[in-house]
Amino acid sequence: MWDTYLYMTLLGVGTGLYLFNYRILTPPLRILGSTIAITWLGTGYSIYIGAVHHKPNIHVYHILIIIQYALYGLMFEKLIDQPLVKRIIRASLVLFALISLSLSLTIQPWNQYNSYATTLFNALIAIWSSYYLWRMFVDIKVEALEQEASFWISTGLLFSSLGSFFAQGLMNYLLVNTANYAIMVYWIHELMDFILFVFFLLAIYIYLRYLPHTQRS
Amino acid sequence: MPSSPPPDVVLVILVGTLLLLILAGFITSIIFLYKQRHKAQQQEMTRLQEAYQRELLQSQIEIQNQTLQQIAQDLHDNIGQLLTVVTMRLNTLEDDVQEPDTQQAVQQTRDLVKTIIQEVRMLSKSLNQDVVGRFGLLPSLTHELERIERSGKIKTTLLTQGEPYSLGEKTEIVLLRMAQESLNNALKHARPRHLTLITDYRPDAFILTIADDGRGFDVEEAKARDLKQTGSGLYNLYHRSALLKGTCTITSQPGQGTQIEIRLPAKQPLISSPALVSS
Repeated sequence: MWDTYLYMTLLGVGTGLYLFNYRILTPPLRILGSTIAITWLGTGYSIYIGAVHHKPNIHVYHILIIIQYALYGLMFEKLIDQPLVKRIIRASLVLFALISLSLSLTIQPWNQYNSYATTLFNALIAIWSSYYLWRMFVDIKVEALEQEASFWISTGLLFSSLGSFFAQGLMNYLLVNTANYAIMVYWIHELMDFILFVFFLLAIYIYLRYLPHTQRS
Repeated sequence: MPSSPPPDVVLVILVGTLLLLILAGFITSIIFLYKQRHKAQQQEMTRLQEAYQRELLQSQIEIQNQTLQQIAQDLHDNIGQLLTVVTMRLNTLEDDVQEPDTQQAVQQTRDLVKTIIQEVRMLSKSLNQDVVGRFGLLPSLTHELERIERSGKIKTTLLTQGEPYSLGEKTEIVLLRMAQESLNNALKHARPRHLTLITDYRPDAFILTIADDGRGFDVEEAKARDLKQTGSGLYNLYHRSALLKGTCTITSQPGQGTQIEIRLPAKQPLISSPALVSS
């Protein structure tokens, strides 16, 4: 249970920080702030109906993942400069929503864990974040990577999505073959989430730390 | 007896630690590699900018030299020739006139024209860049000082230290132009009685010093003036020295004369520029 409290606390602090500074954030950071806030609200709602009303709550994650991908996708669409990649990302937003809804309506209904959609989500996020990191590295547009909020966001997303992607695959295998190690995979999954939101907090700290004084007021 | 942690917990901790280490390693290496790339890119940009500036200087020098060459040729071929014709006419006139007063006036005029011819020839040589190419920097500087000394009002001295070596024709032309600019500035503004040129050929550097005992000026104040108030002379000296990978130091005080020291590396980057080689 402590991990849920910690997770919700990280999300809550992130939401507060991003919304408090919303006015001075760049468009991609505003979108990220909205993603954190929606994740916080969605997860909070899911915990509420699960813990208080003792009702199934998995359907919340079926919807939440579509919104999350739409917002992350929009964020990368703003960050990436290449027109073709922008178009592909925009197309993927619609495609992912359609595929995810189709899966929810067919092979993984609303009362089942949406592992296929989650796996696709992680794969796509890993692609966009690694592409953005690669462009950053190749284009050499910024003075120092570590002073760029988008570097920390992309690194966090890349690492957590790759980790979750493999953990997800391993989880399915373990649940079918041996459930003994499933708990380990669960914790790795949790660790990835913690890392991701710690990186988001780090990103806003870096952004505010290196924001020119003229843009603060 | 304390119970040992279950193997699952140890495994989770180990895997978690390993993942964090991989993440830290990834971030560290990407930042390190990026810094290296960024540094290399900055160096490349600086190199390109310097190369561009050198090309620009080269173009300016080419244009200036072509103009001066044209003027030198016109002075030598047209005005020089015309003056020679005038001398010949005066010779004929001297033979034709009988009155001693008129004859003397014609002789004086002829001598004056001969002086003008010499002056024009010297000026023509001074403007002609081929002189530097054919005879080198030292004879060209000597020629400049001789031309100034012919006015009879200013004493000049040329001192050479070390064993003279060539800095390359292009660099020597730039140096000659810089020396001419400095000498002209001295003549125009300083009213000196004595001008000294020192060429110091060191193994690692060449130093050209132009010193006068004239009125001097406040260097900082002159540097602070904008382009409308001041000429481009000082700026040209600093700029050209920098483009030749050298330095220019101007030392002066009101009433205490001026000393300009141009220090260049013995091996000149301008010479190795492909544009210069091709030109």
